[in-house]
Amino acid sequence: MGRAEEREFSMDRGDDELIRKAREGDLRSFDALVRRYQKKVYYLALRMLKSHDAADDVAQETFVSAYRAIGTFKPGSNFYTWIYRICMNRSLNYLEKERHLVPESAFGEGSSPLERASAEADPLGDAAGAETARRIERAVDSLSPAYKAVFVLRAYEEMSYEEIAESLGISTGTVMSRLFRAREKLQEMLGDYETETR
Amino acid sequence: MKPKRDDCKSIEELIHLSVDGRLDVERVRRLEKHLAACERCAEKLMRLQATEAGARSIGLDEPPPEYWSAFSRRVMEKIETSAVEKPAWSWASAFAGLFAAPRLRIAAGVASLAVVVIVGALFLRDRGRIVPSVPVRDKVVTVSEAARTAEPEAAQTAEPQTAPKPAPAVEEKAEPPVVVEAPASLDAAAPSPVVAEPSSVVVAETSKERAPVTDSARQITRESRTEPVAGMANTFAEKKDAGVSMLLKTGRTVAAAKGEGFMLDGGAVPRVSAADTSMSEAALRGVIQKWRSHIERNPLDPQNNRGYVQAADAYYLLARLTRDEAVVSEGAQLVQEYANRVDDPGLKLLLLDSKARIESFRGK
Repeated sequence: MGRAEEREFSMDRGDDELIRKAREGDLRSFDALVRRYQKKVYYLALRMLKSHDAADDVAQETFVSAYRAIGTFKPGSNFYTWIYRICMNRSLNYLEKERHLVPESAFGEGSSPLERASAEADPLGDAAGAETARRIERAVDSLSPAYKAVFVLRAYEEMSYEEIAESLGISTGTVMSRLFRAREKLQEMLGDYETETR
Repeated sequence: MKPKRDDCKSIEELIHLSVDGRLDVERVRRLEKHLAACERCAEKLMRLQATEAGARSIGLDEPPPEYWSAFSRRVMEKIETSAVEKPAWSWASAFAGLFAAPRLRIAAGVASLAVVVIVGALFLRDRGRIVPSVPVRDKVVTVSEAARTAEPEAAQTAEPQTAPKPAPAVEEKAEPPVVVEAPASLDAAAPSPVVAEPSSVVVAETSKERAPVTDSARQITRESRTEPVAGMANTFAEKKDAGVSMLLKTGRTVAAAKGEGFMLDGGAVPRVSAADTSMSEAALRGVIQKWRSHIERNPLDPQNNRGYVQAADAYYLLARLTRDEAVVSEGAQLVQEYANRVDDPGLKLLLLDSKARIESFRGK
């Protein structure tokens, strides 16, 4: 099931009811919402912050903030984009505050996720592919927070331009502009890499 | 026939939209027609698609199952904790509080604003001037002491100081503009860059080191500052000789031995970052002890806002490192105390969040 279908499925499964009860102060309903979205929020933060501890902090703060602000959630709106908006704001604030965040290995001790993914797919190892993926990963991490946010939501979350706009509180035109520019920047960085390796 | 560069330019957006599957039939045909004739654009599309696919192929480790089972419990604990401790803050209460606040708050706020104006004007006018004949700190001392006594005369005493008069020239050499932090705000992300010259080290004054406040000090004007004021010049000269100059309590940072840090009461304190897990237990305890000590001895220092956050971050890292229940309890209690002291709701929330993060290590 693609991510877009996943989101619709989640919404069909009684988000509205849980949200309504949570707005009335029912903590159990909010707890159910947390369980429903905890992984999505955590992984979004992890993509942005590249640190388990930071992602954990931001994910926790996202839900606490969401509870405090649940009264402002418009019934019938998309809870998914709403909670993502809070998470992105927190993540961007975190990046702003911790400018020199050094990404610890969010992917376990020692090896990068790509090395493990490659090892699983090809026991003999695909060094070139793994190296390319690492370069892409580093290039994405080096994007400015504004560009990175749009790229992460598009590439990893497969959100539409409209959903990204809603999640970031910007216009669809700005989404397209930043996304296209982020891709161009990635190509520039990766193009330099290819020049070096030839 | 080769496509013109203008054609390629107009096709760029279609290439990106194609990667996202946003093209209608007509634009797909237009793009395909162009790509059939333009190797450059065709290669660009392939690269974009490959990059996107490469990015998506980067997997992430799944945390252990117990992490997820505990996640929502931790969130709910934080919600319940913050609900109990959250003050009944509202715009109405804040508005009422502003006018019901003692004069010292108004005096301190106005004084801080005046300091910003004065020092900003001074910097712009007198970059690179040598030390003043009268320590600038005296103006702050005057206001602080007046504010601390909370006497009606204090406000009157403070009032002339808050007039937009230029402050004495301070010893600044090619330094960035001074940022003064008002007591109720904290700019956590804007420490000044490293200051290379020892004469520009910031010193957070202790009450013991302040020069006695005299009437002549209160009446200092720009014109009268060419001559040292009796009783103060020596103090200032000593400080200057020691390579230290008096600056306002601006929260500026200086280069400590290991990078950015603070000068507190004559000693360097490294800057703590919640994301930097490399600091040792001893170093973290040192940071906590120095900030606590400074805050206790200088309760009105505007730099304390930064100190509250630094202490909170240090306690968080210490709790994370040691998983010691005593550290967790001690840290949570101290950060709660600091949160109770501040008026700014943003800073209060930040500290309460830090407290929750510290407490998340309880029982681990």
